Amino acid sequence: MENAKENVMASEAKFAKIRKRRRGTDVLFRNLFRIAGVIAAMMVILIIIFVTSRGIRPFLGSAEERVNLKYFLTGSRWRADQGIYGLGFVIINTLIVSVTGGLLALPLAILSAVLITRIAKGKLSIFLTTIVETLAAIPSVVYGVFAAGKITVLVRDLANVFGISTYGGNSSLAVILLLAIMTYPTMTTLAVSGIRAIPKELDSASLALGATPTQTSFKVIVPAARSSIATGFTLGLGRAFGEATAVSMIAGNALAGPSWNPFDITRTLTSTMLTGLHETSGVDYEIRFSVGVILMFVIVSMNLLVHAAKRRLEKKGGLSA
Amino acid sequence: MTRIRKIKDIFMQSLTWVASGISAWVLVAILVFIFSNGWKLLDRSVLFGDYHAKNIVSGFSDEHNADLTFTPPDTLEDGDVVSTRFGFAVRDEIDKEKNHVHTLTWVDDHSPLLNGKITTAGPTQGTPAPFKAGMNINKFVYLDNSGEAITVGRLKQQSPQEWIPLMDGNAKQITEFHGKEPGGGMRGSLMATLILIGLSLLFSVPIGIFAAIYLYAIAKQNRLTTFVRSSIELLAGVPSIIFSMMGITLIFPIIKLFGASGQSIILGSLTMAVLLLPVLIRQTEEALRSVPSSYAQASLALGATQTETLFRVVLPSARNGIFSACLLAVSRIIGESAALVFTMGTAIQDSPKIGSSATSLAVQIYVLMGGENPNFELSSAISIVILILVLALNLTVKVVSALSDKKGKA
Amino acid sequence: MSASKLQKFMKRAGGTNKKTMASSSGSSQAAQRENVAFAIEDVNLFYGDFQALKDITLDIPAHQVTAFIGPSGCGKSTLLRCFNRMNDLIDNCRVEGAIYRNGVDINGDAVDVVDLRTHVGMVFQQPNPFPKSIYDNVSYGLVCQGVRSKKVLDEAVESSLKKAALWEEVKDHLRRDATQLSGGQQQRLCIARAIALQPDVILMDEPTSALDPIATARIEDLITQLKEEYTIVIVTHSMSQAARISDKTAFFLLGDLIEFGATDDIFQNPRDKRTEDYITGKFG
Repeated sequence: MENAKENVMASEAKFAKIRKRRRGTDVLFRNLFRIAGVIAAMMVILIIIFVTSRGIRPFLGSAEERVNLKYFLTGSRWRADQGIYGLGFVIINTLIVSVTGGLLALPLAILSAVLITRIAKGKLSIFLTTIVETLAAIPSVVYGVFAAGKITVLVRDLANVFGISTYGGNSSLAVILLLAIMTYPTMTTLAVSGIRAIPKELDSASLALGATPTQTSFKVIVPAARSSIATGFTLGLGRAFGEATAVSMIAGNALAGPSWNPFDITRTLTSTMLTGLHETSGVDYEIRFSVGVILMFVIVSMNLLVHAAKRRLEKKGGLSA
Repeated sequence: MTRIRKIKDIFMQSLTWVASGISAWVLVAILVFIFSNGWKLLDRSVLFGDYHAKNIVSGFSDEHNADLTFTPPDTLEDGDVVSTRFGFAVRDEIDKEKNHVHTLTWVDDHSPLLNGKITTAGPTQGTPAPFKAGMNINKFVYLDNSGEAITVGRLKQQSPQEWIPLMDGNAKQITEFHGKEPGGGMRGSLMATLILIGLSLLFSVPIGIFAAIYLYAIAKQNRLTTFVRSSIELLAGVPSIIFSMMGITLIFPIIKLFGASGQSIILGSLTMAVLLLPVLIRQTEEALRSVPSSYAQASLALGATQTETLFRVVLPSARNGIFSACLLAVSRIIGESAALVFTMGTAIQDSPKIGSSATSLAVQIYVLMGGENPNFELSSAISIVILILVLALNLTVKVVSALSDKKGKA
Repeated sequence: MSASKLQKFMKRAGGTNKKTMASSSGSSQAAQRENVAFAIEDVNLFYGDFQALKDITLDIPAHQVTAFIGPSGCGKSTLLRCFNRMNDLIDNCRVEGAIYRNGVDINGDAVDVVDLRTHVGMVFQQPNPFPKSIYDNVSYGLVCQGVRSKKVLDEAVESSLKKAALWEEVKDHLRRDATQLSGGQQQRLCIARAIALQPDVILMDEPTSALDPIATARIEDLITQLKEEYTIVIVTHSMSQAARISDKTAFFLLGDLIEFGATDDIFQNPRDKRTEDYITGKFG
């Protein structure tokens, strides 16, 4: 009898110990999960802080050593060898090529999305989607090789038709075409999902009013999906601003600008950061971080602008869903 | 319907076909360009060979002078000059830098050239250094019948048609041959990429999964959680070159404390790990949410702790989705270039080490394409490898998720 | 003056009528009587192998409200959708038999579906205005037809909204997004939208089942007014609604037309026992 009681108490104690350990493990892991979440959440802020603090350095220090901030932001010449760092024209260049490329891709993306979601049937639709997904999966270096080998040649030949000479085809136009190709998949994918989310009642309503399916697509469905399409455009534009390796292969790296002529070589924020990385030191190296800060600033500004524009449209009763 | 309306209708429809047609045409153009430029280069020596050319001095310390006659195979082309005495064929070619090289196009299985060993004094003396097809010959040194050492070859401004018969006729014994392994391979970058993948996943997968678990199971529906989610979404929108800069400014000082210096694979991996977080977290959370909540509730109702439920029930059920997430991460690593240029370096290495700089496959392409003479052929060849890997990974992810969907529906 | 301009335009746009008038058959003469909107003859409808409508024959009178009643799945909505060929959108749907409108079988090859729908309008159960302005919603059908003149559109919008008893409420807010209106207002907007095309027939598929009683009452009043100008066919789940507003009622059961006649007759003196059972609430 005593033994049985002892046994029970012993096993009770054992279970209590196990329970305690399990609870301890649970608490431990829950904290680990929290820590992981915090780390992930902090990264963005840390990136901004650290890159900015490094990027500010060239502008601090004694008057002779430091880089002129005002000229950095507004200047129109970039000669690393002479210590001239005017990024102003580079910012404008980046905006020109990215926005033009994006505007070139947007109508194509919308039209493709209409084809995929509303006109093409089953297998064809899947096939077309696969094309878009494959384009999205190609890494930027591979786009760079293609751009350097084919797009530049195309531009050069086109320029010859007009009697214009180019720097081997490296030009604004080449970058615009490249960025259009690279942003197209993002815009198409978002347009497709936006269109697919439109309820069928709108379709029925339009057809019952005597509109053709095509009219329905372009007059009702695409406008109804404009929120997703706008998001796709913004995302694509963000990627265009930040595209580095492929662009730097064909930009040409102009020393002054901005490059309004599409056949002129150009220089973007990212190409400035990357070019000549092998043989660089001192200010030339440090200034790239400053350029990075400007790049982040441009992207954030654009996102805020689009956000504000969306808000305004919503207020007027325009955008819904 | 009026005629005008019908015409407009058909016009708009055809525009959609044109748009998709353009995208298909661009894709085909890209693939055709890459494959036509790189396919012919893809053989073992390129896939698994060193990038950097190596000068080799090989020779014999003993007599290797069998009086053999070798017959060349029929596969030789015009311009190949055959040494019937020593069993090899050489052709005069022009390399990328517009220089003449004498390339070995055939070496017989019994040719004495295969038995060469390194003769220069030092730690490698005596190790086998066979001369195989694909290598370049710079010069031969042989002893002629009178015991004199004669040098022949390209370095003596002789064409193969001149020096091979000379050697065949007069050589009693070859003592040395100098040549070059032309390099142009991607093995170094291939290995660096593998190491990079391993290390990046090592750091990012645990943090990514744990952070996803945090969002799925622990975070409450409040402002803080929204903030956390937004931060992670923002991270996804950061351009990869900025990650490069983060690597240098944030991570490098940390690993410096552990003794690392300069650009290195480890620095690149840690940078990639941060870059991969949004992808991993998003996919993993989706996978976790696709597990029916009834499983978790049943587990908790049976007295299991939340952690036990996660590790024993939820995560195993979500393993397909998590696996897909990892495959997507690998695909991203293979294709990434901008984030690694600053952090991992641009020096192509034949034997990459974790602590020193190296190039991944993608970065090697970037390096090859820079400068005055971009190497389209090798870049395209590497691109083919990258495309095959990336597309295979993406396809696998699709298949895995299609299979999981079937299971879920059944 | 411009109302007739609009009418001329609509006639021009619907130009196929002259050609298709040539093919007429026996009972189409009956259909050409002024007071029949649709003459339905032996219509059978199949979804794949399943037969949803069996040998339906009836005449829908013009300028009256005809109600289709019956339990769920009896085929009343399916038949309604035959009148503007919305069933064409369903993949494996097959229709046999004929439905004559103005002496022409609307299922015939010569009939332009798109044009048909401008003459036979539809209002759905769930109000489905486009996420556009009220003005753009109402003018949508005309714009698709090719009407460009702002004057014509303005007048069409105003007259349609007036006829739909919505004008007073929205006349100062025509540019506001239509989805911001209340449920009842949205449904009246959908009616206005259909009216703008000046159809002969307005089909209504349970138009008030998603609305509150007050909105329902307003729309029922509207329907009673509208029948002066249009033929109305309404599918309804509510027998009291049918009794209130319809002139003729058709009772359907499992794809069959059981009984059709004057509403008062149907509800007070049903000839078929099944009709009587349904009306008295024994099933459905």
